[in-house]
Amino acid sequence: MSSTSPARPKIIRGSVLLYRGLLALGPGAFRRDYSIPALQDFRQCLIDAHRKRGFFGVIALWPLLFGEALSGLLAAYSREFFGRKQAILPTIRRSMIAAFWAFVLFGIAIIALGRITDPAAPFDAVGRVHPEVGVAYSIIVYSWEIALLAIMLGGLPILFVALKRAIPGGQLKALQLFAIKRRHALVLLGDRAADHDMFPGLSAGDGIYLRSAIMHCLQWLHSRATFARHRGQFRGHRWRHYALRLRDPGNHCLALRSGTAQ
Amino acid sequence: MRQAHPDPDAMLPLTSAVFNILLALADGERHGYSIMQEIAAQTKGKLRIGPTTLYRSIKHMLEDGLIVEADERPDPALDDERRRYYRLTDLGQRVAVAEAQRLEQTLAVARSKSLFRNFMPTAPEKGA
Repeated sequence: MSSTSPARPKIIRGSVLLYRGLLALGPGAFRRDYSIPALQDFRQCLIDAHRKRGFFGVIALWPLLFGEALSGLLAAYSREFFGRKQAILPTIRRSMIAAFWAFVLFGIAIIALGRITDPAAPFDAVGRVHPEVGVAYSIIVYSWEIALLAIMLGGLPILFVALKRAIPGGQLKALQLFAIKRRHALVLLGDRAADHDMFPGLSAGDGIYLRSAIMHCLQWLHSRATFARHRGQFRGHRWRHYALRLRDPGNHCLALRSGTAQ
Repeated sequence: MRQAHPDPDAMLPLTSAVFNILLALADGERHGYSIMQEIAAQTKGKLRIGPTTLYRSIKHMLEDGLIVEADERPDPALDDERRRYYRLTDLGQRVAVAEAQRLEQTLAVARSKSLFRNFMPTAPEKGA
């Protein structure tokens, strides 16, 4: 179609170029699926406006078209990042809850530690001899209290919303929020195994390398498993894509998407 | 694509763009630019949506199962082959009706208020 279309006025070509650039800033999924029809309709709007009112008709459309393009792309980004009906992705939600509970457990451990060391006045004896230790301990305690308050303020609403959404799905769904995945459990076990206490021959530095290697192996295994699960969807896709691009450079994306290509 | 939602009321209220797209498709299949023109016509130019808003709304509506992409073109010989046509689904029709009923109910409430009586010539007067 584009090869047979007549030469357009410069103002239309310039506007289309500008709009194309604006669309290129949009989210990938939207760009892939809708940039071609959106560009086509945008061009059609400008052609109609130019036919009716000439150059100034096109200029008059700019605030509407570019304004809505900007706001629309921002909204598309917002949806991509935060979702529309679900405020946060389940994985992120689960991770945040896990982090929240981890911090609560850490807080309990700190309290326990404080009670064990010096229930009446923590590090008092040491603090008298070494004031810098006392100051450091106070800083740690105050920091922990501020961080706990922030996490409670931020974490409790997340926990509340997550539970509220999960409860209608059944008790199991609510419990699943607090469960960790097998992959995460393996990472934790691997981490423990890499601890130099379990392998006396390893230094702390070696343990870090071993942990990193275990995590990379698990990640690789996970990606292989995901690919194997969806292999049917990927089969032949790449070759089809190249063949279509060679045959019709302008139209291969649409044809591929709609499944009309042979 | 998501499964058809059993309860159209759960999808209300619709945004102005989505409701007008549903209305534009109520008479049959249309492509993007035709939808934009129909919306401008049916709102007497008061609502004009651009291509970005249109396709963003279409994307959401496809995901929600309110519309589907039509396989056949009304007139393949005359039309640009790259154009995509959309049509209402059964759920889309039910959601459009539910939204219209909701707006009608709101309008009835507005008409019953004395504040609006002087500004709405079509409002039925008591005892008339």
